[in-house]
Amino acid sequence: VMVLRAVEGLSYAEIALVAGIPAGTVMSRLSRARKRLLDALGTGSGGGS
Amino acid sequence: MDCRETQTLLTAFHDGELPDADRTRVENHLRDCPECGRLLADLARADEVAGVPDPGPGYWSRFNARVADRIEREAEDPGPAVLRPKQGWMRQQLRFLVPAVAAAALVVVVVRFGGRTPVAPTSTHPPAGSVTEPSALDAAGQRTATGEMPSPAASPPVTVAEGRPPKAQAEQKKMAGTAPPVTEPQFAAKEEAPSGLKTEKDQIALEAPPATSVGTARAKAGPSPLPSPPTRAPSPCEMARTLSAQERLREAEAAQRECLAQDPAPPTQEKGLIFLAELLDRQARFAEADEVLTEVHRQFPKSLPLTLYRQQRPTVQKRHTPAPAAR
Repeated sequence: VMVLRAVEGLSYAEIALVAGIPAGTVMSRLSRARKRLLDALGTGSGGGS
Repeated sequence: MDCRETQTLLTAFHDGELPDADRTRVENHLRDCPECGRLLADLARADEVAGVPDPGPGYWSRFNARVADRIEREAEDPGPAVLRPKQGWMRQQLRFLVPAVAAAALVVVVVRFGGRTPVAPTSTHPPAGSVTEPSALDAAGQRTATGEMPSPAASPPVTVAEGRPPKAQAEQKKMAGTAPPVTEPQFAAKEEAPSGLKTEKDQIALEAPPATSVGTARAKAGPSPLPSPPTRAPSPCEMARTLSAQERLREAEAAQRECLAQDPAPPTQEKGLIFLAELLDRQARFAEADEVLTEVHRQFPKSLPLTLYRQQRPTVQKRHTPAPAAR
């Protein structure tokens, strides 16, 4: 989902279509993915942990 | 609206996917809440790191030339080593991350474009090649020590007008995935537009494993830093992709028709016809595209690429209905 959004630049609706998941799930997964990414890099402002 | 609710919506807010009403409410909250503001900034940073926003066809069409060019420069001037990564923590993170993201992207691409080749999980861990890494960093907009810029002839990165990547790039990624990591430059070479490079020397340098390519290039580097003229013309199929990426749709269409005429192999026909339909759609010639798609359906009733294209076709058509970008 992260890749579809950040790399491919698809909209939520398009991601939902491609991945076969509801748009709400796109949003929550995206949110989680970004959080993890920042955690992994240790560059978040701390709110994500 | 409280922080909790805001944070639930923050991702969608950041991506511009919220309805106006919610958007206003989030904005109001953000005005008074530095904490949520920070989280929003984090989202942008996450995209920055992961995103490597598509640098556009201009970037990819010159990708191979730049890699070869840099290898040559390295060979001649072993000064500040671009290819020797600093051992900074951040860089190490990126070294893992970039291939991982690329691998994930290609899984997606394979799924989307209906590739039949199962992608082996081994492809997710290409050795962080010294050649590929700095280029990937370039894609992230970060300049390496010598300030490597797109080589002189490189066109400025063109933003892809569509939501989806140029197919050429998709193909390239897919290929790169099936036999990493050396393959990418090889296939990038195929995308090379007429202005391309391709001395044999470059070819050899690129085909060598990343770890040794510098040495190889060094050993083989002749006195001339300039690549000689291209040794072969790109095939119509390649031309079609390149032209499509440049939004030269009419020419791309012509090239694609030629490509289809030349190669009767079913996979070429299946994807090629769909690509042709897409080119027609992008010129707002929907009826003709309909015919092509019908033909695909007749020949390949269970075509996955066809199904996928039909799903996204309304979006394509909508985007190109008002003013076809033909010329």
